[in-house]
Amino acid sequence: MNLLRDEERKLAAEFLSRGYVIAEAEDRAALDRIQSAAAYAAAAFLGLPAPADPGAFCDAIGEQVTAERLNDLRLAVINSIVGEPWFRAAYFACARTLIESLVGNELAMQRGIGLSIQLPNDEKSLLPLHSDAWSEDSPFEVVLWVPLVDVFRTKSMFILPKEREERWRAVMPQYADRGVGALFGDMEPDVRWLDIPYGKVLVFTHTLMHGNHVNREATARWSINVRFKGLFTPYSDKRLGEFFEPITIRPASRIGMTYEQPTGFSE
Amino acid sequence: MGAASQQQSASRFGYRGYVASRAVRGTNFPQHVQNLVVRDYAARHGLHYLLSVTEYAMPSCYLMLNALLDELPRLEGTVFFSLFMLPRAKARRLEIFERVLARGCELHAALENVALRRRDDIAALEDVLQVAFTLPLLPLAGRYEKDENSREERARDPFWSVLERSL
Repeated sequence: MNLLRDEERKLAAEFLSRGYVIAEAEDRAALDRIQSAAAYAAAAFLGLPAPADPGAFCDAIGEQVTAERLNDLRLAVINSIVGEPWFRAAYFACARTLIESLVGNELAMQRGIGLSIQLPNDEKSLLPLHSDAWSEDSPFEVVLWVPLVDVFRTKSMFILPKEREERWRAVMPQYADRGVGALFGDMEPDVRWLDIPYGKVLVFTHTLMHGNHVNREATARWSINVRFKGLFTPYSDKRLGEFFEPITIRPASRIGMTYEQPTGFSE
Repeated sequence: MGAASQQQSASRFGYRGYVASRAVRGTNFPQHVQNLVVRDYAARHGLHYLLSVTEYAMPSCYLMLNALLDELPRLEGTVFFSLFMLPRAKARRLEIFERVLARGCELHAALENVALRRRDDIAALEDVLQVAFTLPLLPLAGRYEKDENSREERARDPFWSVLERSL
């Protein structure tokens, strides 16, 4: 029996066939607040005044920072926005119903964030082809990936869509001695670069191969990634407490987790 | 700050480390690694680290923890290697939290990067512990294993067999 609503069925079918969904941010004010906080934190780090247009400032960050200082800037921005008490609720609000439809309504959320800032033509900030499920992550997780600027072509990330993934998964052992670079080189015509304008969000299963490459566009990429999973689904090495925290425990679960049967009976 | 509080603060000093001799969440971390994690946490949070006490290996033994709790009047707080070194029984944990707070101390957990500073912090810590203690009751015992042997075990798990047949 499948009692999902029609819109949930469509969403589930799309997610299962492609492995990702791109949708409008559900709370645009929350997204704008995150973008502004990131831009203001970057400006403060660089000793610049708060920008009037945070999006344009982020796009043009390559004019203000060198590739050598980029990681310090990135860490300063992460520390600043993660320290904001409203940040986690705002990030979740950007895709709450989408995540609840795809994952469930009793959730664990990654405690930290990933922030990617990729300057044009910077060859040092690359994330080679990978699947998170090949390392410490559980395949029960999804990633909410939120660009803070328009991303397109090489300014975005690539993903190997589900319909093409099986074929490449099968031939992976043939690349054991040649490395992941060779695998990506041969696979590249099949990967999809995701064009996502600012204001939209991406949810994808990190079981699919994905990554980024040198940003050959004129402006910088800014994107945040945070993982979500069903609270009561299997974890891998990114564990509850260290990496994830519960964000929506329902009352029935609270009762069940603390329930004790009456005791003291004897034969 | 009143004179009594100032006197109390002056007589307290540092955060005592607390590391384990038994497995923490199923993993035996070498004690020197636990101490590295605790010291790093203390340094990152500006806490003056005091040499760790080491809990004994016997299951459910908290002799060293109790000694540490007795020392609280002379400390600013404690840094556990992990939150999961607390007793499994909720009533015992709550008693420890109350003792720490009543002494004006803080309890930090380095591995999880969390801290008990005020009564409001208890709920979030308890949420993590309560859910984690429930995970062994779930399919795959709440743990997704990636090696071949574990996958075979998964295939033999009656829950997954039934579920896969039903799809």
